Parts: sequence; C-alpha cells; structure tokens
Amino acid sequence: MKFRFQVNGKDFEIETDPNRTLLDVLRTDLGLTGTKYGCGVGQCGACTVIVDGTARCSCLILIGQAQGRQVETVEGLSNGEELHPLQDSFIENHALQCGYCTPGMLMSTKGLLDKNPSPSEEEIKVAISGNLCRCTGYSQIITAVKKAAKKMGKVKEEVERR
Amino acid sequence: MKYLPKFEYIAPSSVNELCKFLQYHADETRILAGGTDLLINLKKGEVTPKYVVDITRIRELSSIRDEQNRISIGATATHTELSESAFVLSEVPFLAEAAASIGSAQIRNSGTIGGNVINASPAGDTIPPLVALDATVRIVSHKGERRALLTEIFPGPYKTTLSSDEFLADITFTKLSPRAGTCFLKLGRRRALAISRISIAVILVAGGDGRIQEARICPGAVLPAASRIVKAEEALLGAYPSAEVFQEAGRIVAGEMVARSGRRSSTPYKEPVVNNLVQHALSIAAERCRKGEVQIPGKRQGL
Repeated sequence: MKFRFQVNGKDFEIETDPNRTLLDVLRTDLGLTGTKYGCGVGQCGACTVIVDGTARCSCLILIGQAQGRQVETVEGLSNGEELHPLQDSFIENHALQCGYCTPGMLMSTKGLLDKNPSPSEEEIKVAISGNLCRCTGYSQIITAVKKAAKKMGKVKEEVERR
Repeated sequence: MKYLPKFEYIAPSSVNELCKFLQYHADETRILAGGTDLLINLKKGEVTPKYVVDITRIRELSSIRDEQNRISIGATATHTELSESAFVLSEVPFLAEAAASIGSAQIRNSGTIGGNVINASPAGDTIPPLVALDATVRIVSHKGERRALLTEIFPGPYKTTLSSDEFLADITFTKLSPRAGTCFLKLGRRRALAISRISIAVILVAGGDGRIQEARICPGAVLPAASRIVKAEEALLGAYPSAEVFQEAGRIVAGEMVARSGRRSSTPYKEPVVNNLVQHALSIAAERCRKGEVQIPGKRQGL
C-alpha cells in the first residue's frame, strides 16, 4: 500500500505493508533513528512523536494511521545547528545521562509547551508521566523544562515588543 | 521490534462505508478506535484479523454534543478531548476525571472512549462514571441501529453483546441537576500508566433542604460486570450528608464486592479500601454539591 505523510515538514510517500508501526517506518525506511524503540507497548514513551500537534507513542500507531498527518520527530526540533530551547536546556541542566529516553522526553515536553507555554510543575510531571527515565531521575528534566519555558516566554515577549 | 501479523488496513470515511464493509467482512475484522489496546493484542498475536478497520477518520463518530438535556459522546472522542472539554468539565466533571486518569498523556491522545468501553475490561476507567450516569449506547450496523443501556452490553469481563457486524457509534446520558456533585477516584499501583485496581464513581444530588435527594454509586475493577450498587444508594436517600451515612454506604459497597466477586487473596486488602474509597468519593461529591461548582484537583493537562 502507498502511504503519504509529512515528517518534520517534509513530504514522504512510501510503499509498504500496512502491518507496520509508524515507529518502524520512521527508523527503518526513513532512517530517522532518533525516535527510540523501548517497550513497544506504550509504557515507556521512548518512541514519542507529535502527530497533528499531540504527543503519541509511535509504537502504537499503524503506518496507515499516519496517512495524511503531520509527524514531528526529535530530528525536526533543531533549526540546522541551532538547538531548540528545550534541547539547550536539557544539556545545560544535565537532564540526560544515557540519553535513550531523551528524544521521547523532548517530544512529550514540546507537545506540552506547544499547548501550554507556561506549565506548572504538576503539569510538567503529568506531561512526562508516560516517559520512563532509568538513570538521571526526573528532577533535572523538570528543571530543564521549566527553564526552557521561561526562556521561550522571554523570546516571545521580545519578538512581540518589536 | 515486535512484528505485527499480516492484515489489510481499511479507513472508511463515513458510517455508511463502515456499515457496508462490516456487512461482508465482519468476522475477519477488528475495529481500531485508537489502537492503544488493539496494537498490543496484535503484537502479542492474540488477534489475527484479515482486516483492521480504522474508524478514527469518520468525523461523525468523534463529536461531543450538547443535545439540550442530554449529552452525546462519539465513540472516537479521545480521553484528552474528554478531559479537556469545557462542557464535560462543567456538566459531568467525574467523567473528565476518569478520562484524565487513564494511561499517560500519549495514551490519552490516542485512546478513545469507545475503545475503552468496547474493550470491556472490568478496569476500564470511563465505564464507572458512564454506568453511574445510566448511559445508553447507540449501536449501528447495516441492518439499522439500536439503543441499549450500557450495562446491558457487558455479559462478562472483556465481552460485549455486540455482534461482529455492529459497532458503537455514541454514548448518551441525561445531564445532571445543577445541584449535583460528582467524583471519580482511582487506585492503581502508581499514578500514571496504571490499570485500576479499584475505582469509584459517585453522584450526589442535594435537595433544597440539604438532604440527599439522589445518589448513584458505581465501583470499577472490583465487579465482574459494572453496575450501580443500589442498596448503598438507598442507604443515603433522605439523609443529611455525614461521615456516618457515608460509612454505611462504604460498608454496603464493600460487602457487595465480596458477594459478587467472591473472597480472593486480595479481599483482606480490598474490602476496607473499597469502603474507604467510597466514603472519600462521597464526601468530595457532597462538598462539590454544596459549592455548586467544581474544581478538578490535579486536573491533567493533555498534550
């Protein structure tokens, strides 16, 4: 079957069997290995991508469900060499060790900030409650998201003032 | 990577198209209403359909509608849509609470109320509030449509009375009185991504004199089939809300759980905990009745 969808703003058309997940196609066919395979059953969040504006587990999405949709993956976060404020903030605040959960954490929290630019700590915790991290722990991640939100708020203010 | 068995993917764009497809292929088909349970079952090889029919592209099945004195929720409304709908939050806040308690943000963005209901897990979190609301379901097929009480479609755990060519179109219930207070509480092994061990949905309606005029109590995950506990509700009628009457209701619900589900290894824990959870839910609902307004504690921001 033919499937058309957008990934990080680029159009893709692939011909493949329908019994495959979006995660599998992103990694295997498109070579976008930033999105990680963890549990395969929606428990760990390592495969989180944003589909039409909402964060979802790409291991639980059939490729057919992506037909005509806009998918955002961790590869689409930065603007060339310029990192997304969340990425900068994760680095500055030591919000990762092994890094396996990081793409999922980034996409879950991007999904949050896209909708809610100044979330409370509780809202951040809820947003990442579907993402498991087994090394860093969560407090640096929460701090990183808070600081990124603040920074993005300031940038937005400056842009509006101009 | 877990591989999925072979199947064909079909995505009808209208109810008519779906009816026609099911008329000829129902027995070889699984309906995908979000996929958070179906994909797991496919990966485990527990189901091996010839066709997977994605109904999430059918617009008419996804709306949450205000129909004067009734509310109608389309089968493919997601848990996030339910938990964030201003309208659900103001009319039936405990349904929003239940939807917000499911899985994680990612799961709530994909999973739907229809999938939750038709999966028919005793631990399905949207079911207790819907049963407390005496919700009815509209079931559609190429032969036409029928309505049933939600409780009538569950003959037992993980089973429904729908035939294979039928599908759930929407769920409807009557709005509550402005003097109603509702509450949903859930106990799982952790807060996120937890299957309910015990949940409770309650509705209390206060009369003008402050006495309880109407009470509805439906526990989740502890009964073979979801149902209101009428004996416990009756114990509350006409009484002023108080710790004593709530204790009595809690005791009756816990007793009913043991009577219907039998004594199990978990009973020494669950019996007092169900009792306490009922009391807690009732006191929150009573508080909300008094205030005539509802705040959702820890209301979850969907993504």
